[in-house]
This record gives sequence, structure tokens and C-alpha cells, in this order.
Amino acid sequence: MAKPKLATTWLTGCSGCHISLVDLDETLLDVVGQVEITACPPLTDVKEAPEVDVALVEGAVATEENEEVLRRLRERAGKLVALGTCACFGGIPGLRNLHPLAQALQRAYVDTESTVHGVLPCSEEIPRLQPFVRPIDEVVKVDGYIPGCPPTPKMLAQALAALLSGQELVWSRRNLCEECPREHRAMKTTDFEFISQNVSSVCELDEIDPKLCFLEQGVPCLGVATREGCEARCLAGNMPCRGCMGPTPDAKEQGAKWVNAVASLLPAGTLSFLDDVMGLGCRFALPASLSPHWVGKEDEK
Amino acid sequence: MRKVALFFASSACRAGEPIDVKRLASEFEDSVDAVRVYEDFHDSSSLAEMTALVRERGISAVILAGRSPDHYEATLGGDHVAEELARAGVNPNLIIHANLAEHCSLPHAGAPAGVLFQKAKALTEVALLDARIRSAVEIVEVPPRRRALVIGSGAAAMVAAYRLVDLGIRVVVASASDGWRWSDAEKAHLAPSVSILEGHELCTLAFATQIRGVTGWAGDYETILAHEGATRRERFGGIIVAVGEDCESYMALWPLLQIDSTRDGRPYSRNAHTLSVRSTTSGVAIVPPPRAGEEALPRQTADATAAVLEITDLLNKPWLAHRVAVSKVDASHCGLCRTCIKVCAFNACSIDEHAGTSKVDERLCKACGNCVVACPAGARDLITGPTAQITGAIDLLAGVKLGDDPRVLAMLCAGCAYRAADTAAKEGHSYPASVLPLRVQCGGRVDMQHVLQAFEAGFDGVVIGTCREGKCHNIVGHLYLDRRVVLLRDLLRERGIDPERLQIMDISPHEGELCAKTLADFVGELSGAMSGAT
Ligand code: SF4
Ligand code: SF4
Ligand code: SF4
Ligand code: SF4
Ligand code: SF4
Repeated sequence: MAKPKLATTWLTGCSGCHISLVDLDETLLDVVGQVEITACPPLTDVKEAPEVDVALVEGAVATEENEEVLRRLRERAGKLVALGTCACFGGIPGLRNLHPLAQALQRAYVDTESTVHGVLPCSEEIPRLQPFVRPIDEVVKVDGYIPGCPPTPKMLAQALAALLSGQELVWSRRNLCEECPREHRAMKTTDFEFISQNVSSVCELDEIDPKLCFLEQGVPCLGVATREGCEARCLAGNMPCRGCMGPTPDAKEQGAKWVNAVASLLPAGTLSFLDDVMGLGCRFALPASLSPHWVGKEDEK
Repeated sequence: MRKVALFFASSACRAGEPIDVKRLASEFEDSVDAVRVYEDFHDSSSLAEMTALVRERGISAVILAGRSPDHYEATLGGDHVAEELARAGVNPNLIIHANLAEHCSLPHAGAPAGVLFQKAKALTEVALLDARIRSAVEIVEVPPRRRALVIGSGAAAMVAAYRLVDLGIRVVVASASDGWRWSDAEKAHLAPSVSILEGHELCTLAFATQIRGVTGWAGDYETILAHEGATRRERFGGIIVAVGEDCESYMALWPLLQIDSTRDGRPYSRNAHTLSVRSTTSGVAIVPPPRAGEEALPRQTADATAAVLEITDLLNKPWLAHRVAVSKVDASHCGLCRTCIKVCAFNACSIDEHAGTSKVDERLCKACGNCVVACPAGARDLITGPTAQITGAIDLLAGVKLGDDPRVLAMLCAGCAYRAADTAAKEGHSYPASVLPLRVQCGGRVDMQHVLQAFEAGFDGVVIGTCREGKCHNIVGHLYLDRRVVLLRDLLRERGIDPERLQIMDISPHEGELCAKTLADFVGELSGAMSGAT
């Protein structure tokens, strides 16, 4: 029997997902043995993949070229799978949606502090940016999602195994706290003193207890509103979760869902220091949320 | 698919501006299993026809498109219609009201007939959506405990206790004071009865006692009574609050019983004209303090007697139907983050370590929905007001065309703001018809995603109507709503949605005029902002 054919491509992302793929180490060799990789930007130099059984797409749709590449790949792929948070939810590139395009360009090419004599790109050769960044399922039908920025090699190995044996991709529907090794103390009971008498802000902490839930210490952590699956790698490094696995499956908006929860968990002191709720809550999934982009007038921002 | 019957009360459609109820009914002929128009639901012939229809056609959900649910509940025998329908086999959670009088015909004086018709149709459609989505609640039959708790130490408390023991009902009189508190004149009148009461085997006097906790429901309340440092638990079928003019005692009782009060600290009666002793909490009767200029003793003894009747009416029933209206947990979503434990004001959430999921204690849960909103994994839902119903209703209402006024979604908390809007209508205050009401369980039930959804769906403004500070029926719903909205404003601003398009209206049930004014002013501000912008 012929080996199944696999192609990958990258749209607007950072190539991190592909690096994670290469990070599969020996597992990758197993995969290479089982499939025929027809196109994969870091490994091959094939610009346009032939017909394939499975296509993995990294990155969001941000340019006209992205859209065209994606549509063409869709036509030739049996199954098309979103690889990584950018492809699934828009990811980091999607944060540009908070600004009208003209302003985003102006800021990036002209106004940044490090730029001298900046000019807006105007060459016909360069793919034109679309007004807003979109996750790939807004453009084509998607058969599966592998969230994560980037997805862990373990998730990738699981996903490839499932895809190659023709199974659906199924991930846990729970939030990250399930995987998180940090313990809860105050959150074991109802107690309204908690919200008023906790530490008033992170700045007042001498050190962060590496064993205790961040929220209990007054440190914003996105883990509550983030899908599990990454093995809580940041938490293990004494770093709060920033939500890169995207929202739990029923949430329509990771930021709002996080707000719903932490408004009753974080002490008032911390809440008053949260001056970038958008940046905290919607860093990874804005284009896939309710109200996915700037809707105000051009000149208001 | 579930069979739904839609009944209209034409009297409600004439309450203020007329709504063409025949035409309205005809609009729904194809979408439900039976449509009927009656003058009203109470009269025996309509009710007989309704129940017969339910039985014959195997109807499982009924929509009563008439007056506000509160209008019916706040009248003597107001639950009669619901009881009869339940007897015919309709689950209480599937008896759904469309409020065509207080939220449509009454408060929009001068609105064009076409606009009112569209609004009435939309409110009925929301009820229909509800009828299709909601699931039945579990009903447990609680044999009421024939024991009553009387809270207070004045003449009213004494009279209530006396009448109860006289009817053969065991009573505990609990009060923080050291003994009876009354004037010499009252003492002279009541002296003989006091002696009898004090020696009565059915009566226990618990002075110098604090009430620390009340859980459960009408027919079976569990209380924690504290006396000289020791606490004991006692169960009662019903409670009478007779603390007289001691407004501070009402305040102290608020976290335990959630009986509403008016601005001047008086307990809020379900109906000041005919049901002055019925509180907003089932199984709890109140004896309102005498008004200024009123002769205290006759009024207090009469009301105490009425309160006893209110409670014994419950306790004499063989069983009371209690709706287990809890929030439910989907274990496959729950990541044990313990957010729900922290937000529940009633200690109803805990972790079942064995099953690896959070769970709800039915005896403690008041179905406020706060944990449903807070649960960041979407593991929870509310049986009496599922999330799908709220999101469906928002989309549905967003599609209604109602003239040129800015369109406002008013998410009204059932405990306070919904009733305040009723009061506004009953007192004859008006506000623009472009305000579209949606009843939610509590301010804490409003998910910030719903607000974003409303703006995304095209609403010009969103009002969240909630209880006044310290008056939240779910203790913290109001507080958490406020805190959520503060953070949400940032999420709105960053997207170019003016945060001023979202307003919180804190209001009490009796504040009708303020409610109408707040809504009208908000619509005015929105039109100003919109015309200024173009
Ligand atoms: S998901 Fe993360 S790692 Fe993958 S392309 Fe996007 S930014 Fe890079
Ligand atoms: S909130 Fe963050 S720190 Fe706390 S348990 Fe969840 S993931 Fe861990
Ligand atoms: S802990 Fe959070 S931010 Fe870190 S990898 Fe996991 S999901 Fe991403
Ligand atoms: S927060 Fe409300 S709905 Fe949730 S368990 Fe507690 S009382 Fe029930
Ligand atoms: S808030 Fe939700 S996910 Fe967290 S413990 Fe409660 S039910 Fe589980």
C-alpha cells in the first residue's frame, strides 16, 4: 500500500509550529517512515504541494497570498488541519486586528521608535495585507485543530498518529488547572474576605510561591480560561499561563470568559492594576472571538 | 419535538396601548401545536379548556402570553393557573411567561401600533425559544415540617407564636434581645396570652439567640441558632419575620433570607394592597411594621394573624412541590479550577475528588447562575435559564426592527430590575419601545460574552439591570457583575465599542419611576451620541 501523503505549509505565523514538528526528534523519523512528506517548508523546497491525504497549515490568514495558498491547498488535500494557535484562532499576528490596517502599517513601518525615515511598503511584489487577520477556518473548511503556540511535540505526535490512522482529533475539553501542579488553598472554601484581604498586587509580593496557584497569590493567570493539553509547561517554570492553547471549546471569547472568572477571584488590588485586559485575555485568540476586530472609526484610535 | 401550547390573555394586550392579539396569535399558528386567545387565564372556563388541551394533545410546554409572571404571583391564588397546568402534566420549568402587558403594552405610551406589535411578537418568540430549549426540572415532594420559626420579640412575634401553637404547630421564637420587648400598654393587653404561651409545650422561647444560617426551601428550612457561644441546628417548615420597627434586624436577616425591603427599610410586600404579609421568599412571611400615624397594636396583631395563615396554609399541605433548580456540571469539561467554589455565595459548590469534578449541593443552590458565568471551562449550566436560551434570545431580539430609536438590550435580573420595570409600567411611567427586555436570573448571571454578543449582533446599547448594593438576592451577584463590567469596558474600548454604550442600572423592585427614567435617559444619550457621530 502506498504511504499516505502529507504536506505542510505556513501562512502568517512565526514558523514555531514547524520547529515544534521538527522537535519530534526520533518520533519524526517514525513519521517519516510512515508517510511521504511532499512539501514542508523547513524540510523541502517544494512551493506547491501535489494532491495529499493530509495537509497541516501553520499561521493565520493575513494577506491575499495567504488566502490563495490556503484555498489551493484545500482543493488538493483530503484532510486539512490547523496547526498551532495562529491557524486555529488567529494567534499573535491577530492582535493587529485591534487597529485599522492603515494605522498598523504606519506604526510598524514609520512610527516605531527605532525607525528612521520609514516608508510604507508599496512594491507590487509584496503580498497585500488584508484588513483583518482571520483563523483559517474562516476561509476554508477545516477538519481538525491542533492548538498551542506552538503545540507540544507530544501533541503533534498524537495528532499525526490519529491523522495517519484516519481518526478524528480529540483533545480534552477541560481547562488547564486540571494539569497544573500548583495547589489550591484559599480556593478550597467560599470566603468573601478572600477577595478584599488578599495581597493587593503582584508588586507587593517578595517572591512567588512556586507551589501555590497564581490566582491565589494575586497574580493574573490565564490557565483557568485556557484549554489543557500543554502539560502546564509555563506553570512548571513558575510563570503564569498566558493562554496560548486558546479558549476552552465552549467559550466564545477567551478574554471575556477569563474576566467572568477572575473578577471574582483576583483581589481588588490586582484588578485595579490590570491595565491591559485585552492583552492578557485575548492575546492568542482575538480573531476567533466575538467581535474579532476593531469596529470603531479609523481616526479614533 | 416537544409539543408547545401558546395561550394569550387579550386583557393583557389591552392593558395600555392596544396590541392586535388575534393577528399576533395567527402569526404563531404554524410554529406551535396549539394557539388560543382568552380574555384571561384565571376564569374557570378558560382554565378548563387550557388543561383539557394540554391533556388531550400531550402538550409538554405552555407559554402564557399575558401579564408579568410577578403580576400573577403577587395576587391571592396567583399560582392557581400554574398549579392547574402542573396537575395536567406540564413541568413547572416549562410554564413560560411572555410579558406583553408590563413590558410591552403598558410602558410605551404613544408608541406606533406597528412597533408594539413587533415587540409583542418578539417577546412571544423569545418565550417560544425558551419553551423549546429548557429542560424539565426535577420535582421533589417535600412533606412540610409542622414547625415554624418566629423571629422577633415584640407584640407581633408573640401573637404569631400564640396563634401557631394554638393551631397545634410547634414554634421557636428567636430573638437577639433578652426578653419580650413591648410598651406597658401592649403588655397590659397581652399579659394573659404571654403566660399561656410561655408555659405551652409546643413553644420554645429562644431569647439572646442569633440566627447564623438558613438553608433549604419552603417546607424544610434548616437554621443554625447560636446562643451564648453554642450553636444548634433546627429545621422548620416556615418562617415568620416579625421584628417590628427594628430595621437593623431586617438588614441582619438579609444575607440569610433575602426578603426585599424598600428604601426606608420596610420589608417589601409582594402586594402592598392584598398580600402585605407575603415576602419575596417562599415560605417566609413578614409582619410589616406599623406606618407612621397608624395605631400599632391592632395593625400588628392583625398582620401577625395573617402571617400565621400564610404559613399554616403551606404547613397544612400534605407535601410541597419543590423544584430542584440547580446548576448542573458537565464533568467532561470541569478542570477543577475551583472558581465555582469561590464565587458561590451559598456554599453550594464543592469538589468530588473521587469523580474528579465539581458538584452542586441541591439543598444549598439557589440557581442564581453566578457559577455558570464564572466557570471558565463552560462546564456549568442553569436548568431554569440555560445559556443557549440567553444567547438565542439575544440574537432573536437583535433582529427585531423597531423604528429609528437606538435599540437597547435590557438584561433584567429577576429579583429586582425585572420587577422594577413591572412597577414602572403599573405606575404609568413610559420609556421608549426600542428597549428590549430579557429576564435573567441575577446580575451575576450576565456573562460578559453575552454583552459582546449583543453589540456584535447590532444592539446600540446594553443595560444590565441588577439589585442595589447590599440588596442582591444572591449576595454577591451584584458585586461580581460590577467587577466583571469594569474589566469588560477595557475589552470594549480596545475594539472601538464605546464603553458608555453599556450601563448598569442598580434598582429595587419598588423603584418604577427611576427605572423608566433610567431607560429613557439612556436611549436619549445613545441617540445624542449617534446623531453627534454622523
Ligand atoms: S502558533 Fe505560535 S508558534 Fe505557531 S506559528 Fe503561531 S506564533 Fe508561531
Ligand atoms: S489558575 Fe493558573 S496557577 Fe492556578 S491552578 Fe489554574 S493554571 Fe494553575
Ligand atoms: S501554560 Fe499557558 S501559555 Fe504556557 S504553554 Fe500552556 S497554555 Fe501556553
Ligand atoms: S453560584 Fe448560584 S447557581 Fe451556582 S451553585 Fe451557587 S447558588 Fe447554585
Ligand atoms: S469553575 Fe467550572 S471548571 Fe472550575 S471547578 Fe467549577 S465547574 Fe469545574
